[in-house]
Amino acid sequence: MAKLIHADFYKTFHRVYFYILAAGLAALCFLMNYAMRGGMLGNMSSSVQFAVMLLEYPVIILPMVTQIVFSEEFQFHTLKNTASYGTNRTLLFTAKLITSILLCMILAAVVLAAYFGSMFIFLKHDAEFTSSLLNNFFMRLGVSCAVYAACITMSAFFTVLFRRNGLAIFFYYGVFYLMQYFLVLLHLEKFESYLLEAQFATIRKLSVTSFQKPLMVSAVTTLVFFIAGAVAFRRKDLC
Amino acid sequence: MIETPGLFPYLTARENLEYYRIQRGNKDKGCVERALQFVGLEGTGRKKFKGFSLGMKQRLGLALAIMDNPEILILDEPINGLDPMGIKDFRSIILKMNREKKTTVLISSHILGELSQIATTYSFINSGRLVQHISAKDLKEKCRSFLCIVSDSADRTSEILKNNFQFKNIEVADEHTVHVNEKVDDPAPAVKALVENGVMVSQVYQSGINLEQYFVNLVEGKENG
Repeated sequence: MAKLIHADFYKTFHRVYFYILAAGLAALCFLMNYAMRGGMLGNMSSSVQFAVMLLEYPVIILPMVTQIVFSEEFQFHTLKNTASYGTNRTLLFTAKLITSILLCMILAAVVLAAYFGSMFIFLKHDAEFTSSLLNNFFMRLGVSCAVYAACITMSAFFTVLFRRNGLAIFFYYGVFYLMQYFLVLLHLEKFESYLLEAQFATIRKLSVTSFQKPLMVSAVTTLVFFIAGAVAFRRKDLC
Repeated sequence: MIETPGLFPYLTARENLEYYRIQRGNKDKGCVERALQFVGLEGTGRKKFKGFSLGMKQRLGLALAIMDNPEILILDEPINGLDPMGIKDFRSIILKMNREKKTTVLISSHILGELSQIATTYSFINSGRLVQHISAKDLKEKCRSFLCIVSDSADRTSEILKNNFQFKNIEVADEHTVHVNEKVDDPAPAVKALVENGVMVSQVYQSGINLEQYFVNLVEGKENG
């Protein structure tokens, strides 16, 4: 497992795409804090509160990471080299999923460093910017990470299921953003609160003690898509 | 190795092999360089895999396959799409691998003529069924060429050739035709002797079957050799 993850890290860190993605996200963070300077919200506490509102947006870029780890291996037919060496497919799928999650954590670290770094550079320190505010933010971020992990697993499943990248991304966004409308059409509104997107509303609004449901929903979603992805991966033609 | 190698286009030859070395848990870092040297790709430097010719890609695929010094190597259609120089290079690498590393190489191919230059044992498979397993020596014997002499009397021809040249491998095919399996490349002395002994020779030609014809006959159930 460790050597499979190590190899995927070697591959990812030897391509420009990942660095461009990280640099682009970091630049966006700088831009946001730069835009906030001087105005009513031009202080650090406002920036942290604004960051809580942005916790849902990383969901958009997560498929880019699964594309690097999973999709291009299908595109370039490189998995046959690994499979023909006798590597267990479930182990391979698990390793790639863990790699995707770890790469997202690295991207998250870059984004956080850029966001807080630019916040200290451009914005004013105010009295409301306290350690408890930061603790609260990082608690919400931690719960969001569980939802991100579920999203990555879902994206990995669709990437394995469909040969075309476009279709995989379409289904990923479709399930994440449109499932609530689908449930309304089927008169199943009572299940809306169990969707991944709905968990971000909980993370944004509720108190720290109410995070049990997002964690549970994320865990169940991760498990379901992990099993489905592993089964699809075992059956996929890799040549 | 399965037909065209699948490797990462944005990585160099060395990086591609390094990726798989790490993945396989091979602690010997020098194996990458040795594999590249063995297939003649040590000088590709920073050139990415996407810029390689098909021959270079095949050689890199072979380097990947031999990186861990396997005892047996299974190659599926390894020379598909290669130009003549690429085929020649590939053949010499396979022979070198067999001689220097004592690797047993199992090649699956439809290009039978090419196989005849390197194979020591053949297995013919048709519709998933093993039709025949034969050594190259035996196959060569079955595919040998012979001299076909058509004259007014096959018996007289056979007798004269046996007496004058001590030929032993002479087969009488019918009342006019004999097959001579010796001195195939130089029929002139035999023809001269036959004419001088009053035999009317109407045709002399070399005949035989190649590997492709042998396989076709085998599949169609015809007798070979």
